[in-house]
Amino acid sequence: MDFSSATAQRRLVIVGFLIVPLTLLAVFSLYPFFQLIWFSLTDWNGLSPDKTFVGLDNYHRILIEDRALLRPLINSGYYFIGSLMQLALATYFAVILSRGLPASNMFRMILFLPFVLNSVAVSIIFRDFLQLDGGLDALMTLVGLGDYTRQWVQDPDIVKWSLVFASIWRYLGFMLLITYGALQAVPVDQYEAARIEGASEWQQFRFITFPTIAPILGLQIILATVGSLEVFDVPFLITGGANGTKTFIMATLEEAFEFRRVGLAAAMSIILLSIVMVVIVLQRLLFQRGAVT
Amino acid sequence: MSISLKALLAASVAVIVAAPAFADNADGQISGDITFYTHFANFVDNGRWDDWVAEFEEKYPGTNVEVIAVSNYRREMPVRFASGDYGDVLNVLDNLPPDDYVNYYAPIGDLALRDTHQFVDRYTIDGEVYGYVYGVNAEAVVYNKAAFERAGITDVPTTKSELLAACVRLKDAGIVPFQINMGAGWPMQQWDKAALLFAGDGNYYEETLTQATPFAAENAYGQSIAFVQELFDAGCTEPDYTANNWDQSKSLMGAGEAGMWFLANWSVPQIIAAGEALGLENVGDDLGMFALPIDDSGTPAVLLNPDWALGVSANSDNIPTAKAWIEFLLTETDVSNEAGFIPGDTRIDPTMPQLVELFETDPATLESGTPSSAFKQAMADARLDFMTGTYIRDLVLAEDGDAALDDVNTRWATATGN
Repeated sequence: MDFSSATAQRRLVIVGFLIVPLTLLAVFSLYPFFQLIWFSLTDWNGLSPDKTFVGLDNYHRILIEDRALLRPLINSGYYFIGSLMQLALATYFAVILSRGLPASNMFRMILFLPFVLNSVAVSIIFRDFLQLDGGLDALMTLVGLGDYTRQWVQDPDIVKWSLVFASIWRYLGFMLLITYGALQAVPVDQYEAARIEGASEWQQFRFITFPTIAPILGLQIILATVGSLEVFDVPFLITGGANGTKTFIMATLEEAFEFRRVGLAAAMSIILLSIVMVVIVLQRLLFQRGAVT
Repeated sequence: MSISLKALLAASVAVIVAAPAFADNADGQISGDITFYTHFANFVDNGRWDDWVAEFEEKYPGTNVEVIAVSNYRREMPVRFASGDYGDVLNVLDNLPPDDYVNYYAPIGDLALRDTHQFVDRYTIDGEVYGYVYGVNAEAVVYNKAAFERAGITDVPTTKSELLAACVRLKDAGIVPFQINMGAGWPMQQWDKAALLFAGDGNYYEETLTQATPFAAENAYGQSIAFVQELFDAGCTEPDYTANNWDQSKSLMGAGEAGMWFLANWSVPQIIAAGEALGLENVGDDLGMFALPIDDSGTPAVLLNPDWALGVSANSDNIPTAKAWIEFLLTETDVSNEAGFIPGDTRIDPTMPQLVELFETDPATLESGTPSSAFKQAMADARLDFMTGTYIRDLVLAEDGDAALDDVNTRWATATGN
């Protein structure tokens, strides 16, 4: 090959730059993924050198014989409701911040900070914060709400919402950042024109801001759905799955490493992956239609 | 970049070429390198491993022991197993079905300590020995004497009624009576073990294989779970029961802010360390042990349970040195006593005062049998995490206890076909 020609050099550069990310992708993403599919078709126990091919037995077991395995998915519902509240809050804060509030940079930083924190650290902070006579109770007593303290993580009716609250606090900043970015794209002159016409703040949001950021909000809902299916760190570290807070990922890990059924656990992961893909496809279809009108 | 890459390549080639030269040791000589995976990270921190390794290397010149501490042994070692590289000397994983030992461990029955060691049978499969225990645990109640004194309790409880009465007095004195560490999960495995005490039979686990409802209230397993449930419902246990407060619970025991727990002697050195970290002195003098009174008979028994055993990797290329290290460690060092065990070697007496106190009254002892592969498999099939304890936690916390118990019994019946 003649390396002096411009086209050949360009190709060389392209290949040269692509080879590193593609290798990384293949080694750390594609290869494990195909391994996972293979494991899900075997009865591998995670240790033994031999894996017996069992076809779709694992899937049959999860979806038909032993549906109790899918029960932790119900907990994702709480996190989904939580993430909708989170989205509303994030949008609210983003709109206020983009309006040039005094010290808005500081508030932006305060709201975004939790997302930069290590999630293990956040969970441990919340574990202590939500304890009996922990930080939350102390705070409530301080402001005179001492009578309203509850067993935040001990009461089975409250614990799920306590964990959802911790998740909201942790991921609010991320949603805020995306929404805030989208808001920067709204042309300023439209607001000016609207104000001259006498539009109220709510009308400005309803007819100018919201239509512009709607596609981004759609994306956020996809992320929220996927996120709530895959909750792991917060409940794992705060309650360890006690009081019915076990999530699907925790159940999968338990199958693999406690009960030594890696094949079954792999099938559970593949099922979770399929659910996530269905959600994404559904939402893409819905939002494409939404964007046209 | 290119230079360092070249250097790296050169170095790795050198390692590949050189490694077999000094690592391969098939002629039975005790020399060369071995790697030792241990769960005793505290002996790394206080330098004891360094001492023992130095003694070993002095006894057998030309040897070199690399000690690697693994914090979550049951979780992390299987991953290394899958890679095929798990050192030379390591613990025999207790969550591995005994029938599988042959795949991962080398037979080491030809060591002299075989005749002087306890619980060798437990690690003997088809006539081959795969492990020797560090020591034996006496499963009993560890209590803080200062806390008992403050609550006005003069005699240690020998019946269940006395135990519950002691709990009330401790509670009235503002002391957490009986920590069960439910939030940490694994301490709940104690109630898997207590089932043997209720059955009065070290081989009770095997019996359950033919029972349809071992977890029902009238059977030993059910009685054990009902016992911890009763302590929990009576408010004897710590108020924060969902969070993992294991480290905090040791400090509470050391400082006398908590009264008791049902764990074994191995927990005593850890309580002492936690208490001393708070700046307290002579914590050990405040600690004692007594047998868990499971009923009102007044003659509670102590359950003897072997702790981790040491084995040699089947993939080891220096088995003679690995075997010598195990023999040296278990017969010539005080590793078992320092860890707070009754030493596995019958020639070494336990030195810990709490153990001496426990056996002073000559309580009945019950040797825990080996849970068979079939039993472990049945537990896993029923999705009951034997010796991890979260299923017991979930039973204790269940809103409808009877329904949860029925569910567990049904799962057991399905798994065993009873």
